Order: sequence, then C-alpha cells, then structure tokens
Amino acid sequence: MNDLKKGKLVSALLIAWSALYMVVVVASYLHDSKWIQTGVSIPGYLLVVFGCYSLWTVGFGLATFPECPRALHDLGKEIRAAKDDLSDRRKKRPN
Amino acid sequence: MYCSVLLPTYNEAENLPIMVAMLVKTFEGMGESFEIIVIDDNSPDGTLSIAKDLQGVYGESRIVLAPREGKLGLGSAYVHGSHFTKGDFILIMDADLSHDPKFIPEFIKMQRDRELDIVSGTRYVKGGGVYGWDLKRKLVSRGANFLARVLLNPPVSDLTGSFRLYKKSVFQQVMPKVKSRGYTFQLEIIVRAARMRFTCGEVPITFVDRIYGTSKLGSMEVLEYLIGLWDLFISA
Repeated sequence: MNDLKKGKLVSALLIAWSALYMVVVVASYLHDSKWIQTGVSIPGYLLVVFGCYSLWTVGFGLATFPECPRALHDLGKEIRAAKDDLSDRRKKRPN
Repeated sequence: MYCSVLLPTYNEAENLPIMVAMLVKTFEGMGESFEIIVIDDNSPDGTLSIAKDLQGVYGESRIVLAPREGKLGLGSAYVHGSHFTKGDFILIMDADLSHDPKFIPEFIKMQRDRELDIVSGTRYVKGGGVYGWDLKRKLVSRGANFLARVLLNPPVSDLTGSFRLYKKSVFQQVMPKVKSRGYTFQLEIIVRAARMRFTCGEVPITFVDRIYGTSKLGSMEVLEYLIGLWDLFISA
C-alpha cells in the first residue's frame, strides 16, 4: 500500500470512528438505553486495555531482558589476542 | 562474497587498531574477500593517522580511507563510505568494540542459507544480549521498541541496532529514501527496506557497552524519537 493510500485509509478510519462515536454519544442523551450507554464507554475501555497490554509487554520485556555477563570477559580475551596479532604483523613489516 | 565493512569513526584512535585486527582475523579465518572502509570525521585524537598506519600493516586494498571534514552524521557517513566500496556486500558496525566481529560468520552463513537481502544483529533474543546497561536504559529500549512495533510492524526485533549486513544493491536502493538523521535512522532503513519487499533475517549478537554508566538520553532525545516514529508511520 503506498503512502497516499495508507494516509487516506487511516484518516478515513479515524473520521468514521469519530463520527460513529459522536452518533452514539448524541443517541445516549436522546435515548435512555443500556446498550447505547455501554457503547459510549467502549472506546475508553479499549484504551485502558491497550494501556494494560503495553504495561505487560514492556514490563515482561524488561524482566526478561537478555544479558550476557560472559561477553565482557570474552571480549577482553579477543582484544588481547588482536593486540598480539597486530604486534606480530608490525614486526613482520618490511620497512 | 566480497564484503565491504563500513566503519564510521570519531575519536576511536584507541579502539580502531584492535577493531581492524579483529576484523582481519575473522575474515581471514573464513577465507572471504573483504575490505574495511574507515570513514573518519576529522577526529581530534588522530584516528585518521592511526588508520593510515594500519594501511601500512594490512595493505591499501584492505584498509580504505574515506575521511570527511567534520561530524556530518552517521547516515551520510554510510553513504559517503559506500562510494568507496568494491564489494558486493556492505557490513555496517560500530568501531568502539561494542559489536564483536566474531558474529560476522553467522551473518554470512544466514545470508547464504536463506539468500537474504539484509541480515541484522539483534540484542533482544535468546543467544544475544547486552552487558553494562542499567534499568533505565533497558526500560527506554523496551519502551521505544514497543512503540515502534505497534506503529510500524518492522521485520526485526532490534530496531536501533547498527550491526547489519546488506547486499550492496539493496543498500544503494534503500539509502536515498532514508530521511531521518537521529535515533530513528537505523529503524527507518529497516522499515523502508521491508516496505520495498527486501528480505531480512536476524542473528543474536552480544553488545558490550564499555562506557556504561553514562546515559545520553534526555527528554529532547525522547521527543525526537517520538516525532521520528510518527513521521515514519505517516510516510512509510
């Protein structure tokens, strides 16, 4: 989907969603219906659900963040080996 | 495979010789052709003269110098360096030893096995990881990652990683489309490449932050990232 199409689709969806929400809000004042009142609270509920999902995902990711305690030690060994290798090559240089 | 390693440097006089020695050892061990392009942004610590000295040790065909007049940004450093490459693959990595060349054989193996356009290193899956990150840095990383995944659904788990292998033709097609210069830069490359239907794989890597303790992230950087994400969401 190209930029323009996606932009138009997202805008259209947002406008449609907002229009529907406005209709439901107005209807809730005109009509005392349990269903309409429930409908008015759904967007807020979905936002809270998304917030909880975000907290869970980020929190879980934080708790299980992969660590590599050995990596510093291994890197130290590799650095020493590299320094020795470079030193040997410098000695073998013709000039 | 003829691999061109792009190494942007700024004040890496101490790390550059070790990095080059490790890279040479890795590629010679694999028997693969390679060259290392050093893109120095006029470092005050003499990194460029160290690089010239390394040319004398390893040869001018293996160490190529692509210096610039000053700090002009990472993205432009990659583009500038790519003009000097002779290889058919481009490998980007950090020159400060946070990326370990020992993972390069795994990048190449994955690229060959699956004929991938891009292979990206990831710190966030089992087998990979970080050393030297405090809780705040990990939280920021996970938070930024989560936001980017929700908005952009990228094909990789490590979105700000800069240890990647690209087919040169892919690199040259994607880079002109990349606009951001800040923290979303690496993210934008991978998102644009995915939108252009290039294939991508991931290799677990370890990331050793030897300058741990210094957190460079403030509220301005966070805002910059959020704006960058939104721009990418709208345009990609």
